[in-house]
Amino acid sequence: MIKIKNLTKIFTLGDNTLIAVNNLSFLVPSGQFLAITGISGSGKSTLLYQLSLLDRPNRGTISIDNINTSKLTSGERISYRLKNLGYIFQDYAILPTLTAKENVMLPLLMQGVKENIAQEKAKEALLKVDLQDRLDHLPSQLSGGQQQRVSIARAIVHNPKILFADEPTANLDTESSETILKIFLNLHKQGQTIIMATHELDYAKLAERNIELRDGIIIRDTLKKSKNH
Amino acid sequence: MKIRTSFNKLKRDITVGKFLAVRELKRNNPWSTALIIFVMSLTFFNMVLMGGILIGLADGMMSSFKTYYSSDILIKPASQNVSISQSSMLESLIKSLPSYQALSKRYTVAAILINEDKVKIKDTEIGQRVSGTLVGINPIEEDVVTGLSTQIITGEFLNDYDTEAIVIGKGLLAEYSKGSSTESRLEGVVVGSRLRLTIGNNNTEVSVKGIIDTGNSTVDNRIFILESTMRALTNNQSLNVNEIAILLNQDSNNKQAKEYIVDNFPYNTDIVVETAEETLPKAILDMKKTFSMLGNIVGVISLVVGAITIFIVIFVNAITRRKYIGIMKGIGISARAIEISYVIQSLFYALSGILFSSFIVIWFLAPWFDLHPLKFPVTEGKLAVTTSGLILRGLILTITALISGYIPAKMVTKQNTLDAILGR
Ligand SMILES: Nc1ncnc2c1ncn2[C@@H]1O[C@H](COP(=O)(O)OP(=O)(O)O)[C@@H](O)[C@H]1O
Ligand SMILES: [Mg+2]
Repeated sequence: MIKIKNLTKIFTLGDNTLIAVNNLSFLVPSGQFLAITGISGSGKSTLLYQLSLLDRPNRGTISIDNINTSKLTSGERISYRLKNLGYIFQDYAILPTLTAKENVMLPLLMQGVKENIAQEKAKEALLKVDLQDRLDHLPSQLSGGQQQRVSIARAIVHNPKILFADEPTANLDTESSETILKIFLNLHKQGQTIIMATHELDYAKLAERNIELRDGIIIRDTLKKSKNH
Repeated sequence: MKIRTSFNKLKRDITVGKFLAVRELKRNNPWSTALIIFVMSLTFFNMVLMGGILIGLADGMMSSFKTYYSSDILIKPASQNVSISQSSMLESLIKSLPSYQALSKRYTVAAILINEDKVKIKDTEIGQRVSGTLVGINPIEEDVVTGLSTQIITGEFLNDYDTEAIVIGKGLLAEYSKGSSTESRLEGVVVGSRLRLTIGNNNTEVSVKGIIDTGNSTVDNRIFILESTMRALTNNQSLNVNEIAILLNQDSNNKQAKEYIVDNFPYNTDIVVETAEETLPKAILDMKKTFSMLGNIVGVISLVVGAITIFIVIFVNAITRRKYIGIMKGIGISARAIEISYVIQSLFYALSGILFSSFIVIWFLAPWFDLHPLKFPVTEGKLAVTTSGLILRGLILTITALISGYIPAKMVTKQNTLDAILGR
């Protein structure tokens, strides 16, 4: 369960201040597939950065499973991210000098998992995204959609509490995008908490819950009745 | 407990750093890797070679002094132009040294050599006469101590019956030591030339049996003759000599031997006993100091160049990977693991360079210089490289590489994660 209270992020540019996330409070139960929607500039990414502890809000608290993350030191935030969170960036963001398998192994190695075990787990994660036959390919040898799937495998390999995805399909063609969404739905079925930002309503509709932002404020919060956990 | 966890964290950071570095190096452009290693090789090469050549020169000077002139210990009279009183007593004392191996007694006197053939050809010719130190020796004894016979470049060394022959140092001959000094030298002297040898009011005709080139200027400006011939020429019946060079057993302590002689010779105030090191002219010691300083300066400059190279390579690499470094930090890879990966890469470059140039130096250059010593007016230079010198310089370069790889990595990893990811 994620408890967000009075979350506010303000950017100051010279004399101008911009409230990108404006005093948001909401709960995300474990296992929920939440889509954050809204037009470009509405604050989706900024919200995700705060929730995934990549950035620090100006005000408000984020508690994950009763841990108040605003109390964590920056070192603790890094190791919290490593153990409990997974993040999928819009532009894949996998390392070019590592193969698909090595990219996925990296967070495990960082957690002290032995190399051979990390390899097995990486293979399992890549199987989940249907890349079992691309294990030793370098990113340059993979398509955009395949790279994004490597990025998903890397984000889920350590069974994170929450999987974040910021516009995961924005750079992809329709077919690849649908594959990605299918993977998310599958993960969701297995109980994975997912928070995905997207401006594409067709994909947002597939999620269990939609929160629509405008100017950093929630203007709509809808829950699909059929998909109660 | 706390120490244990921080140790485990370090171990993990090293594992991840190594994992990243190995793949980075493996998948880098091989040409740029080769180029960086090449630059590191040149750096190390410079650190080793310039100093090695300069110190090799100084060493060459020093060792030629010891080998061809002083041997392990040299005894001279306390005041010049006097012979060593009680020479035979001193000789028996020397022979009682536990480490004694051989000695050579030398009688020295200032002499003039005149090339009369030359005078006949042309009256104004300057290369007709030269003054030098005439050294009366027992050629067998001398050869045991200094091995001068091995340094004859044409002709032969003296033997016991060469009563009218001399061996002349190349420094006195114009044809063998061109242009390095303004002093007059004999011209047109070859093996078999007959020269007039003058000592004070006495003179005699001698023939040149050999020409010697030791690379040591003192020896190369001497004229060697049989002790008996010289004695006859100078009417000297005294058995007191002017120089005694003593060869000791290998690895014996020159200082101890010197003390033994000084302590046991009753007329020790009349003589000066010097170990090989002490006989070296101050100029040579100064030169050695200057040369090693120059070598070190060149070494430090190359080190700075090497450090900058590594810094730039790692900095450019880290800057162009800034976004990926941000992402790594974003998914929870510690900054230290990333820094370690860059440090490992720079260590790889430095160590490859060190190994490559050590290989070249040890297997190609040092043997080459041994076969083809650098010819200098005062001496011959070989490449002075020792394993410990290589290791020391290698260590210095390694540490430099470590620091100059770490700093740029640190500069990039300490940037804000989100800024790095978003390219802000
Ligand atoms: N680092 C920043 N500095 C200043 N303004 C920013 C910064 N990041 C985002 N913003 C602004 O905050 C608002 C929300 O941005 P963002 O969260 O990226 O929106 P979205 O992801 O929904 O397109 C935008 O107006 C954007 O210009
Ligand atoms: Mg965005």
